[in-house]
Amino acid sequence: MAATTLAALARLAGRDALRHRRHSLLLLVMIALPVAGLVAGTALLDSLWQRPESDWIQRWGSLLVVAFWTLAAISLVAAVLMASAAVTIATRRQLRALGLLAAAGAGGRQLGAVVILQAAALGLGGALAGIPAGLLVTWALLPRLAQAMNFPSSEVPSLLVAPGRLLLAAGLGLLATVAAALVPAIRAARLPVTAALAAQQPPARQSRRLTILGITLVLVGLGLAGLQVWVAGSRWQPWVAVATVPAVLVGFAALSRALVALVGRTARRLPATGRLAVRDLARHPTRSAAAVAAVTAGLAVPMLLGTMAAQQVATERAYGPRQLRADQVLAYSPAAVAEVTELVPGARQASFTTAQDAQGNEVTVHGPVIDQYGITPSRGLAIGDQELLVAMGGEPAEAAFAGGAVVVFGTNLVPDGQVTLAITDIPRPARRITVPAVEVTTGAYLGETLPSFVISRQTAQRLWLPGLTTPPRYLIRTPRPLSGIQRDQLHALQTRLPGASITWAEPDPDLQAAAQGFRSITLALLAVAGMLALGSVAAACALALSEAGPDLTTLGQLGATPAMTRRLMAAQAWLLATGGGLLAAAIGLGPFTVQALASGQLRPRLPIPFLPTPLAVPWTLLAAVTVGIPALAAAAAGLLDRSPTPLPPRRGG
Amino acid sequence: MTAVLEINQVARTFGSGHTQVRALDGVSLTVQAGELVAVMGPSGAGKSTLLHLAGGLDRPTSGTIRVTGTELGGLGRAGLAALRRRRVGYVFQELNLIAALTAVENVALPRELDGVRGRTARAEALAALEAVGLAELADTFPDQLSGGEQQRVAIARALVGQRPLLLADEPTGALDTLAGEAILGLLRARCDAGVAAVLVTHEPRYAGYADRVVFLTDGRMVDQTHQPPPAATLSGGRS
Repeated sequence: MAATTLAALARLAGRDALRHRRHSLLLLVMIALPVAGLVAGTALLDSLWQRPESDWIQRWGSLLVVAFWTLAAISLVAAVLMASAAVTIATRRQLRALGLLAAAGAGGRQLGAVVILQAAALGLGGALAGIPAGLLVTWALLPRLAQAMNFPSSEVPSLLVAPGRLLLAAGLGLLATVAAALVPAIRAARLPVTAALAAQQPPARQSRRLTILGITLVLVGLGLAGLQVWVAGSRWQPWVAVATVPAVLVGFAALSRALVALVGRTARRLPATGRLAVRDLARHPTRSAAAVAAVTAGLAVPMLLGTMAAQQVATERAYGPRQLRADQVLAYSPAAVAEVTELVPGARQASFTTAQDAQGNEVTVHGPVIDQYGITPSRGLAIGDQELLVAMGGEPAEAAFAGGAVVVFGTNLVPDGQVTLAITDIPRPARRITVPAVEVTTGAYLGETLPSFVISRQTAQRLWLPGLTTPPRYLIRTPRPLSGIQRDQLHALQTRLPGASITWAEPDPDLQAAAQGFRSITLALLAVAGMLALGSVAAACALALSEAGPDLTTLGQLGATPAMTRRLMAAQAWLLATGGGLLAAAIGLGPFTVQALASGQLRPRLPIPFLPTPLAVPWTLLAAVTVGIPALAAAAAGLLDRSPTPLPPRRGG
Repeated sequence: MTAVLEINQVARTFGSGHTQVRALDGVSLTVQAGELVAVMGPSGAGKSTLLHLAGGLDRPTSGTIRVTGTELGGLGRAGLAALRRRRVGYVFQELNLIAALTAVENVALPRELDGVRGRTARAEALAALEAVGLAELADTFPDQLSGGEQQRVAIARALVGQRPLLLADEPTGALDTLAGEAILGLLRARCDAGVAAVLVTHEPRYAGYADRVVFLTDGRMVDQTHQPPPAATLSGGRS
């Protein structure tokens, strides 16, 4: 294309961008924000990594880097999707001008060039605006972040800015804009001249291929999630887990247009405002699907991290060694029991023993399942009475216990109301016994290991366990969790009476710090993702408003009050954010749900039993993603909406 | 007869200084129940401005406007919106149907906006569509209808809820002659049933359906006649 032609097209594109300043500003901001985020993120990481020896960086550094680049990639994808919708709307607005150009002899490539040049110019502007904004954010955040990460005040790192990173951020922003403009440019280039002159663009339809691709990718993603059951523990598991997320995410993004259309068809029974909101979204699938996909992309990361964390906690609770709770004390002599019960009024105590073989070793009880490493965890089998069950927190199983059942502390350990125990008590031959069992799940586990199985003395005899038992131990249950003062008193008791051997649960500071650190990162990611989602919804609403002018004017003419049009915009924002939030929840929970279901279904069919994966739902996070953020988006859209007056633009007459 | 619309010495000025435009200047007009008044005049005469003021879409710079006895100047934004929902039906040249809603949903919209239950509003809208002969296309979206059909939907929307005043701003502007005649026949029939209507038109043939024709030029009412324009200009006018 000749330079003069290019200059003329650029002039045309520039004039149109200037005529529609608000729309141009919106596109500029869409690119400026992720560029600013990239600049701020890379500058913060570079600056903080000047102190690689910091405890915080040692512990959380790699996770922070992975989380940042994941969010950066997702925000760029979201920017491309939203910018694509903005360019599509701008092209629709320019159709008549493009038609006149075509009528004057411009070719398809030249028409496409107008679209790309306009987007590229705004993208470049956004990228250039994003750099100082990002540096400003870094400058403001760095000291606060260093403080939050417990850097000594003398070691607060200085701001480190690598010019290469700035160029990379600006280049990525520009690239994102050009990528966003490609499809609208191709559609403009192929438009029939008469249709362009009449400002009519054939509606974009969901291609069947895209739908099939979306369904296939979602199924592949869910299949990969199920595959994790087989590859659990192998070196392939992380790669399979990593492949699951993009497959499901891209699959849902490809399907979002079809999903939006599906929702549009179901709107008939909604009230007028809701129906209008849904139908409008369905009629403009490009911007609706882009907004839903952008919200999904933003919220999927914290949802995945949160579900992963919840599942880890649930796995620990289900299969971790049975340990003392904060309201339990283990004592090894009656004297110690007397001292403890004096210190903690209202405490109840129960004695228990474990079976012993002829050599004086504790009888080993395996089962009922084998863990993912192919090991049968050895679990203690306590013999006691109803008091022991109460002291262990197993009150719900009292009736079954009295009836001879084994009480199992944990989850997912008792399939079909019975359990198979592998008993080894040398010199007798190892044997397996299947007995009725009942499962009890109780609170948090910290401190000393306790038996996981509890049986009555009668049941122990019936199971032919050896008559020999270990000396009794005593489990004391306090009326409420031990306070700091009571733990100090127990420490003093141990010092005063070395013979009074007692154990209790102490809060593990490392464990608490680890949990706190992970929670902080998830919360920070949720905050950033929430902003990303709100930004996407705001951009989609602004785009909707830029197209909805005539409809809103008509509504005003028909007597809709400003409150009604605000409700309409709020409903649109809520629908977009809820759609994105629900998809993010599906992406976050889906792979883990499939994994849990698959492991439960497959367990009886495989030659060796293994631990089924527990399904854990992070309810608070789920509520934030599917209810909180959509409500916030709706409130913001409703409050910030400036609907036009009912008067149409003045013409002659 | 009862006066449905009373416009008294109304003026409307836009802009200020050297860009100031006096769109209407001391216009008075009364429309009785069952009367169809046509407003004619060249472009820029103030016809649409007159309709906007009569419908409560805009406020006059001076003068008073009453719709079924209610002085519009005393109404706030919400009051004017309620007036548009309950007492004034508007038909525009550009049709102004909401593309995302079906024909029956478009017609039911003013009633639903007024808090009428969805089922009742739909029944009323179906009756209005029946009255304009479009009941069988009730669940069709606007872009699947012809221009004439869309305009009939717009008229049904203006009539739904038994509103006493109908304002039509060049409702036949985008239609062919045959469709235009049908629309005017419909408007005439509604007036004969007791609705007061003001019709802005450039076409003398359509003004022939009116009981009275008023002429505006440069924002002033320059003439009015109770006689329809000469028969030579009509083709199938009022029967």
